Amino acid sequence: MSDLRRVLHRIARSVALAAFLGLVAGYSAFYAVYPNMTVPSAGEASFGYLLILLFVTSVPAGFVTSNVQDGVVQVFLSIPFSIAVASVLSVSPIFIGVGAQADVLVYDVIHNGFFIFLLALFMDVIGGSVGLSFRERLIVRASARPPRVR
Amino acid sequence: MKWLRPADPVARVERAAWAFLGAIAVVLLLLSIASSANYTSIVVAQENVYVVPSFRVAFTGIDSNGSLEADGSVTVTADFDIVNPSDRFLHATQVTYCGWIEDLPAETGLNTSRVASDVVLVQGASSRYFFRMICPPPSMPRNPIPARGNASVVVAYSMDRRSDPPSFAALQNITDYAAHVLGSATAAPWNHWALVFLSIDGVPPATSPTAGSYILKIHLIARQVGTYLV
Repeated sequence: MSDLRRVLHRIARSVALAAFLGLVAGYSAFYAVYPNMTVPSAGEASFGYLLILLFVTSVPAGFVTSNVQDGVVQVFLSIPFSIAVASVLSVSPIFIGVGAQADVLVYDVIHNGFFIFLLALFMDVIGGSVGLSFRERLIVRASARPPRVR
Repeated sequence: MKWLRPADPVARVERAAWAFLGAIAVVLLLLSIASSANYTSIVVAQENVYVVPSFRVAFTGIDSNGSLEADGSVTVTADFDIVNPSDRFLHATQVTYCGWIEDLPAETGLNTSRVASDVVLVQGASSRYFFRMICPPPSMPRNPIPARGNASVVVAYSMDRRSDPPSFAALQNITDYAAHVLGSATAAPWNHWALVFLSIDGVPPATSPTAGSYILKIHLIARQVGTYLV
C-alpha cells in the first residue's frame, strides 16, 4: 500500500512539475510570438528575458525532482502542457466571441514559437541537471556531516 | 541516511524550492491571465471600432447664374465620428481621402474630353462617369479617442484654380452643367472614399522575427469608408 502511495506521489509530482514547466514554456512561446500582446509588452521579444525565465525555473524544478528518470519523463511530459498553454493564450479572444480563426492562431503560435519550445526543452534539461546535481551534492554533504549531539 | 531528518539541509532547500516554484507559477499564471486580457482587449478594439462618416461639399464663388467663378473653390469637409466600444484608448493617426464628382457632361455626351481619364462605374445596364477631383496626401491628425467613447475627426480639403488648374476646369464644366440642367451647382453627385488609421495606445509595433504574421499590424486599426474608384 505504501509502495502504491509512493508511486502515486511520484507520478503526481512529475505531472505537477511537467505542468509547471509547460506553463513556463507556453508563456515564453506566447511572449515570443505575441510580444506586443504579452504582459510585459514589447515590440520585440527579449531573448535574455526568455533565457533567464527558462533557466531560473528549470533549476528548482530539477532540484525537487528525485531522480534523472523522473526528470526526463517530466521534461517530455511538459511538451503537451506547453503547447496547450500557448494555444489557449493565442485563442483567448475567441472565448468571448471575437478574433480570427482558432486553427490559424494555434498554427501561428506553434510554428513561430517552435524554436522557443525547443529552447525550453533544452533549458529544462540543462537547468534540471544543474538542480539535480545541486541536490545530490547537498545530500552528500549532509550525509558526510556527523549528527548533532544534544 | 538516518541522519537525514526533516530539518536537514536537503529538506529545507526542497521546501524552499517548492515555495519558489509555487510563487513563480502564481506569477506566471497572473502574467498569462493579464496577457490574455490585454490581447483580448486589443482584438475587441480591432473588431468593434467603427467610423460614422459624413461629408459636406461647399462651394465659394458661385455667380448669380449658378456657375463657379474662376476665383471660386470647393471644400469638402469630412467628419469622421469614431465610435470606440473597447477598453483601449485610441489615436487617429492618418486619414486619407479621395473625392470624385460625377461627370454629368461626359455621361450625356456633351463633353467627352475627360472620358478617358474618368472612372466608369457600371451599374446594371447604365454607366456612370466619375472625375477624381480631390485626392491629397494623407493628413496626420492626432485626435485621441477615449475608451468606451467616441470622438470626431474633422478634416477639410479644398481645391481651387491655383492648386489644381485642370481639375478646377473640369469642376467648372461639371458644376455649370449641374447648375443649368439640375438647377444647382451642388447637385452633381459625389463619391467619397476615406481610409482612417487608428493606433491602439500601449501596443508597440511588433518587430520581433518570431512575431506571428497575424499581429504585425495589430497595433493599427484601419477603417475604410466609401468606395475607392479605379
